[in-house]
Amino acid sequence: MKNTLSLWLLFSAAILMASCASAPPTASDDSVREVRKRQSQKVMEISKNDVEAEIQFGQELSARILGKYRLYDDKKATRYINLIGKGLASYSSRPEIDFRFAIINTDMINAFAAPGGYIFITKGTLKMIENEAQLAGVLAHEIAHVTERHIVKELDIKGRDTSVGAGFAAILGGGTSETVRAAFTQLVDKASELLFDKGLKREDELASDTLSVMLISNAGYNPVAYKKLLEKVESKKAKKEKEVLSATHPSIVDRVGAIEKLIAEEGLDALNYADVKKRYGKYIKL
Amino acid sequence: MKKISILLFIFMFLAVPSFAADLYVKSVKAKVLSKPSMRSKTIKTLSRGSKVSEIKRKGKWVMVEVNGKKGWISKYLVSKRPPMKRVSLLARGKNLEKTARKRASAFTSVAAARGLTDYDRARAGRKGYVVDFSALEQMEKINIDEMEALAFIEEGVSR
Repeated sequence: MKNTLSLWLLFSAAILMASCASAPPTASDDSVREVRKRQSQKVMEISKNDVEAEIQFGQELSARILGKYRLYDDKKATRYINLIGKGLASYSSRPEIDFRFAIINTDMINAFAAPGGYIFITKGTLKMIENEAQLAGVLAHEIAHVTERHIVKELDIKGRDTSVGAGFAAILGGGTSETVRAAFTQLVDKASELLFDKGLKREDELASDTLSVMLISNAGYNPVAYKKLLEKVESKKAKKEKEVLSATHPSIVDRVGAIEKLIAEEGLDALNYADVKKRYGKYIKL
Repeated sequence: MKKISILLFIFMFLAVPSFAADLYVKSVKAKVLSKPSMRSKTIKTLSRGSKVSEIKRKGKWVMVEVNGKKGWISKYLVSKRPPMKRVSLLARGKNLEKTARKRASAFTSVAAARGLTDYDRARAGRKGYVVDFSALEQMEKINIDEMEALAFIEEGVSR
């Protein structure tokens, strides 16, 4: 009897241990709850509705970016940046997004990403860029903001029936409540402030640099070129042109430092990757 | 009995499930490398949607097993969820967009002459942002195939 009991206890213990790995912990502790929350967010399924809400939100925000800075209508250059941008985006983690790229008519040195895959690069940035690898670095940084859903997460844009995003679909269709419309506009206002004035979180910007370096390396571009571009921006005397960039991004010195560390850690400087200078000059004549 | 107890004790540890999980390639293609370094040899190139088994992680790399072969893949190219199909609002929501742009057009052309409608004021937001949906439409018209873009990049970087 004693032996049977021991066996039973051992067997129960084995079953218990086997199930421990998947059973939820008894989350009495806040830190455990926080970790679990983050983990569940990480693997959270993004529904088609969420993506649609994100795209619609991005369209509204993009219309504001284009209203503020105006499109730079150079068909050859625009097709070129779309070829590079789309090619880079094909290496990204979000095949559900149809990325689109445009040049905006300002000498300011900056680039913007709106949710849903709308990417904007300024004429001023294109003037400063010397080769395709640098262009790829800037576009990949913006692509990363979209793939990591930085604005979407910050503003909690979802496609559920009760969400503001889903409500916006009804706005476009012509019928919804004033409250939902006002709430949606407030969200677009917040996103506009993030892009034009406040900037995204420092960690989001640095994460986008990391992703950019890895993405362009995967595509075969020299990641050191991107670092050199940032150094060139930093050394630029015309402070006015980089005013907005400075206000909305972490310091370039910090960014360059982080990129240098990453390049060294991953041994990317030893790769014989391309700058593609000649082709850049062929398509971008500003 | 003692032997059975020992066997059960061993089972206790073996029974703990491993954390190996299936991962899916999200990027158009992903190299499986012999070491966790971009400088190492390519074992295999996988296409989007390919399933691999995760063995372990090291920094920005994941050791995976695919068709019995082990290798390293960039963590940025794989995910626990299978890739989603392209979501396009242009085909599905044409009427919705038209409505939106019609209203936006009212904002830009008529607003100056007659003042803004409540709807347009709402759309312009608290700071009265100008919206330009015709430029957005122009931006959306550029349609480049992913494979064409990829080939264009490869042509450039291979020279």
